[in-house]
Amino acid sequence: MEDQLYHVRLLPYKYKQTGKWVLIAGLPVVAGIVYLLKTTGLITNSISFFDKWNDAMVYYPIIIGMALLVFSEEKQEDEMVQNLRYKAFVSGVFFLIMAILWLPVFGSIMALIRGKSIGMPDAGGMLGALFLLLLYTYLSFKYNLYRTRKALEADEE
Amino acid sequence: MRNNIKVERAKKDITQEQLAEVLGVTRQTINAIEKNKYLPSTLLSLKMSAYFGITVNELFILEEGD
Repeated sequence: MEDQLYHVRLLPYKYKQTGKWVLIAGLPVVAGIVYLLKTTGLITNSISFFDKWNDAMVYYPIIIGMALLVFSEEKQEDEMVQNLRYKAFVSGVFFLIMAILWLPVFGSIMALIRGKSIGMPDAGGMLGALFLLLLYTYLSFKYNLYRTRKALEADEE
Repeated sequence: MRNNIKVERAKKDITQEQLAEVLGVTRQTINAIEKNKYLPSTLLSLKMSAYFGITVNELFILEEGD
């Protein structure tokens, strides 16, 4: 018997090892590819990649590696493990919202400490991603709630 | 809520590991349930009570405030 709603099939345990390797070797591999492309002349300017650590390319191996770690099963998977994973997801999203919303405050405090003028930190991408996550969560929840209620209404005696 | 899993396990003379194997969960899960750190699903509760040959109400006891 299995809950059909919200069912996301996790990857097998072996992908956890792959995730670890992507995390360890991902950055040097991406850097190597960029270096090769630069030496062959396909990329003329790679200064931003090597200098800016907030460059999106740098995050790709980190996010792919972390996603493989998070979306793969444990060696011994059971309902308690699934319950703990669900709680970790919920608290993770909650703390992410808190962190992103407080970012301008922390940014302003740091700017004041450094004697700089206060300005809005560059959080546009993060706010967009957060909005999409919350929008999906809300719509998915409401749709599944509607579908479940409809199905139950049809079964009512 | 409290439970009689430890008592029932003792009656059958089986370890947490053996019970976990029968029910298809980990030993840590059985340990967490026994210590009231994790509330099992209806399915697992029914499997457990069926294994011990008692009802779910005999295995899990509601306390005041639950």
